[in-house]
Amino acid sequence: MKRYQVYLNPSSISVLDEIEKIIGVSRSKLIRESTDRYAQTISNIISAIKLRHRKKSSLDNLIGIIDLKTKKKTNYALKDDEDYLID
Amino acid sequence: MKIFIDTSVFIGLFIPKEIYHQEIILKYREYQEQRVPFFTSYYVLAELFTRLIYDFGKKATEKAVYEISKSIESKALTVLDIEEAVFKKSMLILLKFSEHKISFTDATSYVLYKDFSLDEIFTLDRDFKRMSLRTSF
Repeated sequence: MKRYQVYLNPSSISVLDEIEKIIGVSRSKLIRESTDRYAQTISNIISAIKLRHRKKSSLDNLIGIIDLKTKKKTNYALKDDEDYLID
Repeated sequence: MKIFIDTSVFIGLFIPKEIYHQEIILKYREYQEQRVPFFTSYYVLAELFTRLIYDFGKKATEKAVYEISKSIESKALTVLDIEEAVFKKSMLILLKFSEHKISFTDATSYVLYKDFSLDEIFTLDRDFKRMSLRTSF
């Protein structure tokens, strides 16, 4: 690890100090962990952008995987969320 | 260009009998020609798998889980996490757009779209348009 100097929002730091008192995890560890998590997410996005996607993709295998035994057209894609809440 | 896939498009892509199946495939091919990266979120996948198990049972859900896992492993699909900060912002978005009765998953997608400067939501759901996000259709 290397030492860096950064400007941070005082209100966020007071929250981290409060957390430190309650769960005993240091402010610097919390900052390190949240920075690591954010950097990981951003790096996933960057690597997805950099990857030259092939014309044949494994997403192609998703097409038509559910074959319904009906002759009628269906519209499950726009089925209302409320239908799933009725138990 | 970064494209975020929503639940409705996954379902439309899976089922050939769906009324929008061909339109979705055409749009998907168009994106593929441009070699764009595709994103989704763990909440969208949770919503998708719940719908599949309710409507089509174990066999269909198994197929979907298998193929989606393969797409994630091959990096054809990148899944974005809903961490605490995103979750908290999503609660505010859910309330902000309460008159449209959006789902909480849609609220999280809105936050990811804004936070990670995504370009389009690949969806059939009109709610995203109502929230002034750019959509595929």
